[in-house]
Amino acid sequence: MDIGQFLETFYEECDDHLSLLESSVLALEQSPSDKKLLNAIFRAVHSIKGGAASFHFPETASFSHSLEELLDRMRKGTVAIRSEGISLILEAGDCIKRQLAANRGAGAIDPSVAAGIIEKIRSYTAASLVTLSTVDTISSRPVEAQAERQDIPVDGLSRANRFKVAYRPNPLCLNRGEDPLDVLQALSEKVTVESLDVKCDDLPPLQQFSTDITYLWWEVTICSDLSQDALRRVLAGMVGGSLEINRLTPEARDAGTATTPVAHTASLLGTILIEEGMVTEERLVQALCKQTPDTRLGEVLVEGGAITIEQLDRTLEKQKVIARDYDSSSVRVRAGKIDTLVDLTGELVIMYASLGNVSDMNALKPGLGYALTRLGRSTRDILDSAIALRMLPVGNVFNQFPRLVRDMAAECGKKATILITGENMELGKIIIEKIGAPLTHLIRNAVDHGIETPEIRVQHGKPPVGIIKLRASEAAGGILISIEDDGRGFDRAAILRKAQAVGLIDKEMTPADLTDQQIYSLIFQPGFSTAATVSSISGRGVGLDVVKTEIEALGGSVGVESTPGLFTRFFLRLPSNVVIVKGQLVRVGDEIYVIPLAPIIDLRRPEASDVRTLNGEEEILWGDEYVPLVRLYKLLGGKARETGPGNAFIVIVESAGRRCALLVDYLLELRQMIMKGLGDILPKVPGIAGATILSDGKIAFVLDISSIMDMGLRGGGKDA
Amino acid sequence: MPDSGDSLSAGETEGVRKFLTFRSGYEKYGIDIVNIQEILEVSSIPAVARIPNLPAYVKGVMNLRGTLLPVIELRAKLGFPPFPYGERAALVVLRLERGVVGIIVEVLGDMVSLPESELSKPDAAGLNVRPELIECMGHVAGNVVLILNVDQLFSPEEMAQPTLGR
Repeated sequence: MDIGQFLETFYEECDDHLSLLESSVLALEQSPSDKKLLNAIFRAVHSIKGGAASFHFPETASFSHSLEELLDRMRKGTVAIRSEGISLILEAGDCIKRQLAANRGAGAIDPSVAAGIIEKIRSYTAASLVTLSTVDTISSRPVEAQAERQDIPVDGLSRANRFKVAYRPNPLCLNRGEDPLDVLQALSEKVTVESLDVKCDDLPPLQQFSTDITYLWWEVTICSDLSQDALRRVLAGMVGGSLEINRLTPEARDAGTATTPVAHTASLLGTILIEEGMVTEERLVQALCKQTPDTRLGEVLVEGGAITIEQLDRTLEKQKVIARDYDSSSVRVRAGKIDTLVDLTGELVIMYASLGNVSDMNALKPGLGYALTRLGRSTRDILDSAIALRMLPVGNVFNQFPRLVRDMAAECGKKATILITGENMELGKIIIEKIGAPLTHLIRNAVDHGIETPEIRVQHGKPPVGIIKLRASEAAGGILISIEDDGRGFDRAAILRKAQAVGLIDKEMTPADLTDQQIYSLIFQPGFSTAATVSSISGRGVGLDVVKTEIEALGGSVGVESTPGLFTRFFLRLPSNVVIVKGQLVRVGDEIYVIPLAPIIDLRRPEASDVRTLNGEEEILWGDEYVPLVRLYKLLGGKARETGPGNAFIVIVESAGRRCALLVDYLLELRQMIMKGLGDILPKVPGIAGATILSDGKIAFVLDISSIMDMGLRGGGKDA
Repeated sequence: MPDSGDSLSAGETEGVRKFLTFRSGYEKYGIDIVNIQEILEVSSIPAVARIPNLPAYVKGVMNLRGTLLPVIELRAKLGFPPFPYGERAALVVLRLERGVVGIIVEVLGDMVSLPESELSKPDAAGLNVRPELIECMGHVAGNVVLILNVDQLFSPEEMAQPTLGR
């Protein structure tokens, strides 16, 4: 058998293992006593070692072995975990990455690199042997972050009983329609299976092998709050073979045989319910016995009156939080296949849309219109599911940043740490791929320019370690990502000076003449940088305008807030998917346009008296401030039906710190639609981001708000 | 009206090319059928949505079975004043490397086969349009047919120009 076909999978899995290694090691630095992290890192390296050996990569295998030994000592507690050790593990991980790349054809690496690291491991080990005297502690995570984790019952295993169950199926069970796999499956649904060990000692030589006979048996390690008796009763009904249940003492942990941890499922529900005191063990056992493959434990309990629906819901929520930590069932699919699926379903939606409206259809045949409406709904659901396949958690991009912050802080002579929340939010694959660079830039800025040196921070009464908060949260129409640092904030005067120096703003303007937002939006203009020295890391003036352009190309917008001396916060608003646009349809003259939802702040019907002219520019009253008024019919040609604001509507939009009111004739509905580009043949049209095909087949253009502002607004330092 | 069901494959015989001919402005033009995806009657096409802020020869975009098709009016691009379309006007949909584009032509002609040997370089002086937009020329029934270089015609540089005139 040619194992070469599995080589690609091996490389992909190693990528995953190394990624897990990096994130776990950085987390370990914050909580060095977390055994689970150490075990996860150990397992990752162990898997890489095994795979490397199987695929005949001896250097990688033996190097991984050295790393594995270090990790084993660390998890046994014989070698201390110090900052130096963390750096060493990261370095070793990088070396393995390069070795694997070399195996894939990226070019040979210098073997002395690996040898050097092994030597460092040796000396670190010698220097860090744990004796009865002190062990260096490394800085722990700020207290509030630790508090966040406490309401999640992380390790339900620690308080439960552990059993070893020997399951020997009847050798002829397959003939009777009993599949051991089904039994094991059912078992894992009723109790928490910690590990599964298949025993092949009864396998005969190949010549004597009979396909009707089941030679295998299994040793299953189970965690459960149930007593041994209760467990026996639950399992007895399920199994046609023999079951031997032995209770394990808490110390009897299997020493590192490579077993596969099975995902936590329904029985954790039972564990949580017992922990919360909502059911007694007796009730739970009764329910488990009553449970069939078609019914769920929760349902059985509610039906039997053991718990209420509210209690069940709350517990399921908790269970979901726990389940997310265990990547139970996922499938590797080539991205191209999903893209094809999305394109086809997108076409399906459009084809459906062109069928016509309900009353026309009903005229052809009664009821046809309604049937088609239901068909349309299902089609859109399929499209949503297809799109969701391409959504990836934003954490995939975020997980590189702890390492980046650590390395950069060291390079800049600063101390900084990063707190990440919302990493489970999902974005379309295309967007995920493209936000990496802008985010990297912003985080580098935060460390390089935002956060002060520890000495200066202490002088100002701040803790010496700077904190960067990276947060992803839902916003109207998509996702909001914010990057906040507790550093020096913006210096308005310095920004204005620099803008004047490069000619972006009139030299006569003083900081008092401009609002905060007007000044801050200057930093997004090309050619701008407030760095006193151009460091190698950032500040070449190529920076934030590129970030703005890249984010806007994805249909998003950028913004910034700051308080001098205290913090700086950058906002990125992104649509959740490039393909689907949520937008407000508006009518301007005879044509329909779409204003993307992300930049919209408000929709209003103004009074005619709300308009005024200041310095030759029209402004309109919004709440208690005046914002520039942009008459869309002037920018987009065509005829406007309503030129008087009293008969029209305004849409207040914001992008990159600029705000304005767009005058439209009429507000139509808010909708989700597929946006298409205008293609490569036409030149880029100012003000237009793309177009969408409406349900009646007509075309509506999607506006590019930033470009509209460029076209419609004067001042604020923008070139015509 | 030529039979648009005709198989639009490149010439089967060695050294013979097939072209779709049409009239626009004062000349007869041809396009190699290799570039042609389909031909539609102007009267049957859905409404073209006007794109703001582009030159007038770009009529807009049209919904072609779910794809956005830019529609160019060749006559306007040639610099001629607008003229109402008769029943022989057609929308020729081209499939180029960079995408699809539709051109409106006033009078659709026939599909002709011309051997390579009969194609020649046109005399630059006699052309109404810039020579690089014409690939070569041939003769059909005594009339000159200018074969358009569609890749050049729809290149980014050319699309930035208002007209094809010299």
